[in-house]
Order: sequence, then structure tokens, then C-alpha cells
Amino acid sequence: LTADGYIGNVPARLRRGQLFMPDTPLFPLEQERSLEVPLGYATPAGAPNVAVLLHAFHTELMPEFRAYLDHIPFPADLFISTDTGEKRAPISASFDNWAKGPVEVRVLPNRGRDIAPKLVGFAAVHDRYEYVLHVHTKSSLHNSGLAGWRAYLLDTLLGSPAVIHGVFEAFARAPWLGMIAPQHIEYLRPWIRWGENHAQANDLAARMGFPLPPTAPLDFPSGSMFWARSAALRPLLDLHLSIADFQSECGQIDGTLAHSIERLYFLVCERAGFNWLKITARGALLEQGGVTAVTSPQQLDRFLARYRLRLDSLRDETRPIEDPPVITSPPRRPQRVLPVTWRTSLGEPALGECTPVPANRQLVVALHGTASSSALLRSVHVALGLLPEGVHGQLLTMPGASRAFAQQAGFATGADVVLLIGAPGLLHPQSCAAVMRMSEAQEGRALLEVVCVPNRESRPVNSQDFSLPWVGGPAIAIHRSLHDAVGGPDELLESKEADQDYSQRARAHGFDLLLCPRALFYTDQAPVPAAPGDRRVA
Amino acid sequence: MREIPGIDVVTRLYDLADLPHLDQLIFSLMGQTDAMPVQLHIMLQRFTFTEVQRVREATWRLRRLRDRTSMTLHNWDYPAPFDLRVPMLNWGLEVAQARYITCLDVYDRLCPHACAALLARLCGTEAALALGGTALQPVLWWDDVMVPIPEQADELAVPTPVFVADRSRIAVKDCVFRTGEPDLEIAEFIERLRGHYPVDTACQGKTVALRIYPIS
Repeated sequence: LTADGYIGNVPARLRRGQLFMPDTPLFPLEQERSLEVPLGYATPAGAPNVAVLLHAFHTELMPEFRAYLDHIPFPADLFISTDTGEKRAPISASFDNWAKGPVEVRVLPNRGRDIAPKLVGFAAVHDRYEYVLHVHTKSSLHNSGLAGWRAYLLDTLLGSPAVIHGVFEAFARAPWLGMIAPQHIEYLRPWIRWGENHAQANDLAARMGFPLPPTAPLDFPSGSMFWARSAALRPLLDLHLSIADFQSECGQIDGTLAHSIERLYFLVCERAGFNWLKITARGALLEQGGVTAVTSPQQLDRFLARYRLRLDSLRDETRPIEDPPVITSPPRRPQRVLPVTWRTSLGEPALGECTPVPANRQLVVALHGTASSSALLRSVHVALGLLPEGVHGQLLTMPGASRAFAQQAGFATGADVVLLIGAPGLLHPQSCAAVMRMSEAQEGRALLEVVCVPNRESRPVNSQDFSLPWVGGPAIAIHRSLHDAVGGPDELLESKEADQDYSQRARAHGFDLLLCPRALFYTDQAPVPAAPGDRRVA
Repeated sequence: MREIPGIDVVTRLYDLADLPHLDQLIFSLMGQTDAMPVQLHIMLQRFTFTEVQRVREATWRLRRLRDRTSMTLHNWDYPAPFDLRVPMLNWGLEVAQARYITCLDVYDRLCPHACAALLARLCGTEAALALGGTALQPVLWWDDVMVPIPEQADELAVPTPVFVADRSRIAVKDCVFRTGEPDLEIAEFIERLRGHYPVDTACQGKTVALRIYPIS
């Protein structure tokens, strides 16, 4: 604990512009203890009465959640919420053979993030089950530093049957334990503070009958995923909140009622007469300092007794900090490097970053139409100079030529891939290499679109495989196999219709329509008028 | 200030995680249709030598895209103050030497005609400041991959406009950023000058820049 109240690598945090000195010091070290799961000994199997409450906003994550929930080694009833009727079918499909209990999917208003659906939409569920698991399809894309957060949370709560057995072993051995949540990831620690959430939290606390001064010690299940006894949530459930109490959704990253409730969970647990515990999946945190492994029931009992924390007791600054328990030092394990995300695992193969491009490949950049500015020529030369080693690059300039003609001419040179550019602009230096890698990763079975920036006419992109409904715009890449199968675009059609027609024909021949997100073309066209409702400064 | 030709662009980089954003900001600067020289000042917040090298390596390719463009890295390596958002902007003002200056966020992307349009407004009027409209562009992003997503901008907060200032028309005492609400230092600068100097808003109704908005 440093003099200014921080724990850990202070300079690394301070380099981030968003960070400031907190109003109050962070936790004392004793609070930094977390229990490593799975436990280091075999735990008896039980059959607790469990409900899983899953809020599924991002339905593309259902396979991931199904895989994690399959680790639950005993019966568990599923209660899944989502925000639109269209999402109901894919959710149900993901759990149609769930054999551990009934599955109920409810469509609820998109308010209160994951909190309102669970505490309001499924409030009654808590009455019928002794234990609940709160999880949701967390996707913190506003911050790349949080890219591995969801995986960490799920690994810690549901990483394996042994992890879950460990959780319920703790519940069984500590009847006073109301809530078990993942330890914070290191990156998040500076945000473990009340911030803009105190006022709303204070209002709720007052309704639950306990004071919450701005200096109140704070800890909470960051990410709002946890195992809990339903009884530990009772004070919050008894508030009988309604969906309308939560702010409407507009991309807030802090300061909503949901964020306030997230910060109150441990205090609610204490208000209900229970304590709480933080756990960490084995080897998941880069900072292993407070992670404690136990290898016997006795060691677990000792850990639970020593680290039976209450936030209100931390207000007593005279309370001595206890020595850490005498526990066999866990062997040093290789640390997992965060972030590791589902996107990386799925997206990287599509991008082909690890796919070698054979040295005999040839890329031709064909400039046609109005694409002939000196800036563009220069940028193409720079990009061609950065092709993977051995790959041949060539520039064809055909001002005024049609795209069909340029495409034909490009492949007549023997090119494997032709990058067609039909407007003035600037090609990003990494674009040619990105196109070749992605084309190679797709084994030539894709029609690629280069991302145009600034982009005001975006089409929906599948963020897992980068597929598009159709490929178009001033910069596209065509593989020889596609050219051989489909030929060129229909010159009788208008530009956009020609793009759509060509895309349909490509798809009919089994080619994918993909965005190449690492290839950028800065288009030299006037910006498209903003759509109605676009919020610009007036 | 010495009157050298061109425009100074000041931007701040707090973390290497934002390098992809800086890359795209620079890319959009290189693609400006105006041939005026651009001096880009990248203000780094307590980077290590290795991190500075990473920035240098990540940007050298982009420098080759355009003549008459300079890029300078300024690394604030003192331990104090903790919050460098405003000090780095003011340091940028100190090191900038051109008559025209703008401060951009790494999440900003200028449209091709942005600089030309705003400079034309300053040259054609008595204004000390020319403002350009900024539209929000929601994106999904991870690492250096950024995928634009369909419009959700109408539900998002209004972004601060981009500005180009003519420093010869602003008193030195006023040409300074002040500590205020977090992340509103540029907005405060604009609003303050708007109260004391003529400000051209002809381009405010047009989109001259995009503000990237990562959506979760």
C-alpha cells in the first residue's frame, strides 16, 4: 500500500490519462485476499437448489455461455432475459437441449443493463431458489483494456465443474457466506470507487435502512457477475424496483442506477446478515499477490475465518491487519496474458495475421475511374512496399477506365489478387498486406471490401467473421478464383446496384463477402450528409 | 508564436493502447486536401523510452504519405502533476509555432476538406476561431481492428466541435487551456473564447470531423 493509497503499480496507472487520485484510499491489503478456485482438494458433490439468471443482450455470445454453463455439475434452472423478440429464437436454440432443468426466456425492456432484468424481471425467481448465479453477456468494447474481462469473470465463476464445486464448498462450510464474486482484474482497480454513483447509491441505501456516507469503504463484484444465496439479495429485492426506475439506455459507461446497484451488492449482502468472498480462477490474474490457494478443508476454514470481511468493519481504522494465513505456497504457474477474447480467437483467423502468404503471390493495385491523384499514387507505393516478404506488388493506373476493364487488365498481368480503387483518396500503408493476408486466410474464397474512412455509410458487419451483406465502395479486393468464376461487374448497372449484383453472384458461387478491417482507404469524397437524427453541434 | 506557414496540430496520447486511434487520426491528417504544411505535435504522458520508440515505429510509415508534414513527439516525463490533460495541451501551445492551431483527440478523424474549409473561414473573416461540426461514429473495436456499426449516434452525447484558432487574433493570456470539468477542457476553451472573440460557425452545421465512439 503506497502512501497515496494505491496498491500495485502506480506509475503504470498514472500514465493513463483517465486516472486520478481517488477520493479515498483504496482497500487495505487484507481486503485484497481472494480464494483461488478450483480448490486444491476434491470436494464432495452436492445438489444445491440453483437458478441461473442470464441477461443475453449479445446473442452471438450464446455458444460461449452455453459452454460455460455446461460446466455446472448439478441441476440448474435457466432464466434468460433479452431485449428484443428477435433474439428469443437464437437464445432458445442455444439451450434447446439443456438437460439440467427448465429454460425460460423473457423479453424485457432494454433498461437497467443486466441489473434490472435480473432484479426486477426475474425478482420472483429469487424466492424459489436457495442459490442464484447472476451472469450476463458483458462486452466492454469501450475500452480495449477490458477485452478479456468477461472471459476472466466466467472462468472464475464457471470455468470448470471443479471451480463450481469449490464455490459451493465455500457456501457449505460458511453458512454466513452470502455472495461469492470474482476478484477485480488489475486494470479495473482505479475505477473501484463511488465516482458519480454515490448519490443514487445513497438513496437506495437509505431506503434499505443503512447510511452510506461518501467516504464509505467500497468493494463490489465488478462486472456484476456472482454466485449468491438468494437471501443475501433480499434487502435489494424488497425495494420492489421497477424497470421504469432505471435510466433509458444510451451507451452510458457510468453513473446510472444499474452502476449504483452494482456497487451496493456487497453492502446489501451485509445488510441481509451475510458476508461475502472474492475468488480468482487459478492463474488468471497477472497480479497474483493476494490470491490464496488452499489444499484442505481445514485451510479453507482458516481462510474463511480470517478473511470474513465486512465493509462496515473497515471503517474502524484501529483494527489491526492480520497476518496472512499459513498456507502452503501454491506453485508458480504460468500467467495468462490478458486480454484474450473470443474476438481474438475467432477474428484473428479470419484476418489471417498468422497465415503465411506464399512468396509467389502477386497483388495488383488497379486505379481506375477518378483514382489518379499523386497522393493516392504515393500511398499505394508505400503500401506495396510493405507487402509480406516475397509477395510481388504492382501498380496499374488506368484513369477513366471502368472497374470491369481495370479488373480484367489486372488479372491479365497474372495477379492473384487485384485491389481495385475507383476514387481519389489515400491508402493506408498496411492495407495491401492486410488484403493479402486476409485473402490467403480465406483461401481466395472471399470478396473483400476495404474500410473507407471517414465512414458515414456503414453496413452491418458481423464482428466475428467480418461478413457483410454486400461488398462495395471505392476500394475492393478480388481474388483470381472469384474472377475466373464470376467475371467482372455488370457495367449496365449503376454503381451501387453493380456492387450488390456482383456480391450476389459471388455468394452464389460460394464466396464470402467480407470486410477487411485492417485495410483502410481514406476517401477523398465529400462527406455524405448525416442521417436524420444525427447529433452534431448546432 | 512565430509565424511559420501551415497549421499546428496538437494531440495527446496517454497510452499505447490508443496507438491504433492515433494511427487513424494521423492518416486522416495526411489525407487533407489542403496542401498547407502540417506540424503534428504528439504529447505523450510519461512514456518510457521503449514506449516512445513504439510510437515512433508505429507512425513512421504514415509520415511518408505526405510532404511538408512534420511530426514531433513530446514526452512529459516528470512525475507531477498527476493529471496531465490540461498541462499537455498548454505545452502543445508552447511548442506550436504556426499562426493556426488545432487540438484534436486521438478519437477524432478529420474529413478530407476539414482543414481547408476551416482555414478558409479564418482567412475570409475576422474570426479568431472557426468551428466545424463533429459527428459521432459508433464503432466496435479491439486492438487495431475497428468496425463501424450502424448509426446509434442520435442517442449519444453531442461531441465537442473541432476548431482551428488564429493565434494572432487571440491575446496570449486567453490562449490557454484551463482545468475544469474532466475531458471538457477543449470545450471550455472554445466556450471561453466564444465569449470574448468573434467565432466563425459557418462550418458548424457541416460534418468536418468524426468522433469515434466505441460502443459496448
